[in-house]
Amino acid sequence: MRLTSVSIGYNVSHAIVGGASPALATYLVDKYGNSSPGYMVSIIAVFSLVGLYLIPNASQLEEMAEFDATAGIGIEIVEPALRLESGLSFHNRDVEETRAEPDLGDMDHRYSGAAGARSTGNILMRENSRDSVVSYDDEDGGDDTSDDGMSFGASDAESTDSGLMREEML
Amino acid sequence: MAYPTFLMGCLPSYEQVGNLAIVLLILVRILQGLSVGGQLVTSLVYTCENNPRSQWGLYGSFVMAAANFGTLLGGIMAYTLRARLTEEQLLDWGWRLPFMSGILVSFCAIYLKYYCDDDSIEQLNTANGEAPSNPIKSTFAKGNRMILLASSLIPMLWAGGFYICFVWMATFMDVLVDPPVPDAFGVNSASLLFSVCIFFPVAGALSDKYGRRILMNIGGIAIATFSPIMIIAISKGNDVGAFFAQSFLGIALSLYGAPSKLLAETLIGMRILLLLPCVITC
Repeated sequence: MRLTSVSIGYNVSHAIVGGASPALATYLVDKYGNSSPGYMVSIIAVFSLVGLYLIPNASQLEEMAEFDATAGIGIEIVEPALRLESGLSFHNRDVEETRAEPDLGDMDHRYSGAAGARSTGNILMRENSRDSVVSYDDEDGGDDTSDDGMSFGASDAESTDSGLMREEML
Repeated sequence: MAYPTFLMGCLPSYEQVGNLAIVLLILVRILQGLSVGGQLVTSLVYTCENNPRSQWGLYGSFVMAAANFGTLLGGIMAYTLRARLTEEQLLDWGWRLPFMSGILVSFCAIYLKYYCDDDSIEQLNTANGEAPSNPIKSTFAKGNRMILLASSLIPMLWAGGFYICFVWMATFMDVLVDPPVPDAFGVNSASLLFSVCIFFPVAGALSDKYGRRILMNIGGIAIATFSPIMIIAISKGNDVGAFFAQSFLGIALSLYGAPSKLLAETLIGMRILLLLPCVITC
């Protein structure tokens, strides 16, 4: 779901801004003089910076990634989504309390084939569970989806993943 | 990508077949767009997968730097053809040459296909359980709109900034500015090479060290603050000044652009998901 968002967003903004800006810049030069395209680029930059502040910051993404990686997913993932929906901040105290400590000890900075395969299944499962959970109430949904998630099991390889996600710099 | 581009060089002209030429051109352009969409992101994922995560910024930015270098090559090719051929030769057959040369890229594709393993795609196929039933619908769901808005706003600066600073700027320096910047094309190519080809991986490596968000903030704020001043400097008609001003913009753009591709990747959570649409569009 996030992939589709990023992909749609990326292509729409490339099509609109990338396509229109040269024509608009030429028009502005004709009408307002040489410095005007500079102001246009400034305005675009401000829009992009606003976008940058809208996305969840590193620690919140880490939390989400940890839930994905430890397969203890379901209600924890729903919470941020609900917060987003209500226009509040992505941050969630409950989430922080329940999050698992990642195993930072044995990470190897590389994805091995096995870990990659597990995380694939894991991610796909996460996408499913999140979509299905959104329609549930919190308590009911939590049970359902943590069952779903657990069927993949939280193995050592996955906690390595969570360590890697935590390391992601943003 | 190689074949649609080559096909573009083989298209009949408007004089030969009339409106059919326009239809064919649009079709080939769509094919080209689909290929770029698949290949650019797949290259990014493939490159990152084969390198340590702590250096994704550096290696990921090579992919985009190479794409920018392609823009530079295209510009040099256009400049050379214009300088060497007469207007008539150019319209007659000269314009086909750059497109036909696109077929050369297929040698790289053949090399990748036979000498590099693509385990990840097999893994994806074996582990491909139930995909979300309608990703487009859930993308526009209420809870996801903030992410959608953010992912539309963030690439704007790279999209608009790159076109203005390195594609449109050559025309601006040559045609719109009075007096024109001497050798506008050379200035444009030099700063393109220096700032968004050579400096780009440096920006990627810096983002590994200091964090992607911080670098994007520095780049974005620098452009927002200085781009009017830099464009005024470029419009003064002095080639050295124009080079430095344009390079400044390019460096700021690189600081913003090099981490932004990977920020999108982080937003997605795991790189493997990126493969889904890539496999489809390839």
